Formats: sequence, structure tokens, C-alpha cells
Amino acid sequence: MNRPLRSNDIPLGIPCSVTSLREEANSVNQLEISLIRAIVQEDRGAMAQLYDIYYPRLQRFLVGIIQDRELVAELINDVMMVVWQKAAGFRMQSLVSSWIFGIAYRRAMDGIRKDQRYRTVLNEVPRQTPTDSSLNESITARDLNVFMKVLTPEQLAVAQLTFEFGYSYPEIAQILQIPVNTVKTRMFHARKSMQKAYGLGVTDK
Amino acid sequence: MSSHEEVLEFLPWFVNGTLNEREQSMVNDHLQGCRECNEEVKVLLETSKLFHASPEPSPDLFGQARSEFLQQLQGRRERRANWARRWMIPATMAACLVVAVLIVSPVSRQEESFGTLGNSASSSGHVIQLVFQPDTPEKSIRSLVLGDQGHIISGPTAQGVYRLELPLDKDPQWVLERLRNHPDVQFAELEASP
Repeated sequence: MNRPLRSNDIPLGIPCSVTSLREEANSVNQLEISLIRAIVQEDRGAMAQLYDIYYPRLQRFLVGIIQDRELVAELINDVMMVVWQKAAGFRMQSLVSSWIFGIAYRRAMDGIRKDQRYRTVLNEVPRQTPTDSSLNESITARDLNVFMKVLTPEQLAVAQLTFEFGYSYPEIAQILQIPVNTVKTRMFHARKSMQKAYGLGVTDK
Repeated sequence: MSSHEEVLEFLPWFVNGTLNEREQSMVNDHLQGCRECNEEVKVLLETSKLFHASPEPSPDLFGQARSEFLQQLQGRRERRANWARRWMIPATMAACLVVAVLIVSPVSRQEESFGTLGNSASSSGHVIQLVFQPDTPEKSIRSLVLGDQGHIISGPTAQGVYRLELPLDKDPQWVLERLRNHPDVQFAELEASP
């Protein structure tokens, strides 16, 4: 058996030391807090700066849930307008990014519930197990779409916030406004669905 | 929940490096002897790699959306400015009108009641200006006034002055004398005739 893996072994180019990761997050958050303070003073330059930082991140996040880039672009503008309007109400009790991702998630879920266009797009995308899966085959970027199709929007959000954006499970609970145990449950089911799609991963409890 | 199941649940956040120290230490200890969890970590690392490989946003859509957003911001600012311009003049005029009404009407009413001792009023009989001792009960005032068959036509003013009108057949000097001698009366004076 190989040496057991430790978090420091993770070969992803992601900052793996928890301390350095947190320090980086704090530093980014400080910059973003200064932008939010300027936005409260109606500084449109600061708003444009925050928009430039968040558009790519929100797009990656929301495309998973909504799966239509044009709708996502429209949704991001809604989200950023909420940020502009509500900046004065942001109490600094969470990371700026958690606050913005939380707005984005709720807007996306509202869209799915209320807006026919969102439902049309989602209905066009078959959420089913792919037939060309191959056991233990290395996963490639091409397969991201497959993952998106086998996970529900709620499961995908948890998976993205964990793997792509590096949030802890308590932070994800805060962003999605759900209990910590629900985060873990959604992740468990997401892993099960990915396992079904690829024959990889988590075993039954 | 067994330690194995608990660790299995933590693994996604072990891989992204966000577990707290206690949880991380628990996972590390468990990984020393659990082949299944080691395999699961490998799968999760692959999964994580996949999510990091998600495509970058399309520059065209970004540029268009950004431009629309900034226009929306500008539009909101202009609408607010227009709204302010549209309502500023009527609002100012309305405020001026309210202030003018407040200035003119209450003061004009007050001027009646804040009469000076030398004030005269048109009344059919003689008018006596009267100031009672502080804390004189209303009952005593009424009894004094009715005793002279007069009636109060105004007051009290801010200085506590009542104006008492007497019937034409009453001798004002006699009434004045009686009032001045009363312990509840501080001041009594006949108003000059118009």
C-alpha cells in the first residue's frame, strides 16, 4: 500500500497549507472589503473593479447550475446590481465572496423556480448517467459537462464551492443558507452520482 | 457514526484543505490504515482537478455584459438625478407653503391670546384684565367670575391674563375693588375704552 495521502500532498497547484490558504483569503477579503466600502460611497470605479473580479468566478459557478451562458450573463448583472444596492447592508460577518456567492445562488434558484426560460434550458439538458463512461479512466475537462448533467443544481453547487472555489463546509452552509449536515448530505449524494457515472468514488454507508 | 464514516464525509474538505486542525488530524490518523479512504482521496483529487479545468468565460459575453451593467448603473444615477430635479422645485414650493401657513396662521391666532395689558377689545361692556395667583383652582376662578355675572372673553395669555367682560349694568369700579381684595387675585385693572 502506498504512503497515505495527506493534504500537503495534493498535486493541484492549489495552495494546500491551510494557514497560507487562509492568509490569502483574508488578504483578498480585505481588498474586497475596501471595494465594498467605496461602493457604499457610490464609487462606480470600485463597482467596476469588483465586477471584473467576480464575473469570471460567478460565471463558472452559475454555468454549472443554469447551463446557459447568456442567461448566466444576465443573472450576473442582476447579482452585481444587488451588490451595488445592498453594499451598505453588508455587515462584514462573512467573507465578501461568501456574501456574493450566496446572492448568486439564491438568484439562480429563484430563477429556476420562477422563470420559464431557466426551466426550458434545464429541461433541454438531459440529467442522466452517461452511457460511454469507462471505469477508472482518467477524468478530463470534457467530462465536466457530464458531471453537470448527473448532479442536481443543489448538489453541483456544493461540489463546485468545495472543489473549484475551496470553501469549507461551514462556509458553504453559510453561502447556501442550509445546515452543515445538509451540506454533507448533498456532497455524499453528489459523490454517489459521480460514482455511478464513472464507477469511481464513495462507497455506500 | 463510526470514525471511518465520519472521515469519509470529511474527505472532500480534506482535499481542499479547509478542515480545522482537529478534523484534519483525525483524517490523517485514519488514512494511515484505511485503504478505501486513500482510494477515495485519489478520486476526489481527480474530481477537484476536473472542476479546476472548467472553461474560462467567453470574452465577448463578458464585454457585452459588463458594458450593459455599467450602463445600468449610469441609468440608475441619471434616473435618480432626474427624479431629484423633477421633484425638487415642487417639493421646495410645497415646503415653503407649509412654512408660510405655519408662520401666518398660528401666530395670528396667538397674537389674539398673547394680548398685552394695554390691549383693548371690542366688547359691549367694560372689560377687566385679571391675573390670578398661581395654582388658583379653576373652581375659584369660575366662582369669582360668575359672582360678578361676567364672562371670560379670552385668556389666559402666556402671562396668565384673563379678560373678563362685565354686564353693562355693573359698576366696573365696584367689581374691580372687590376683585383686588380677593386673595386669589394678583392683578385686576380696567381696560381702557376704545
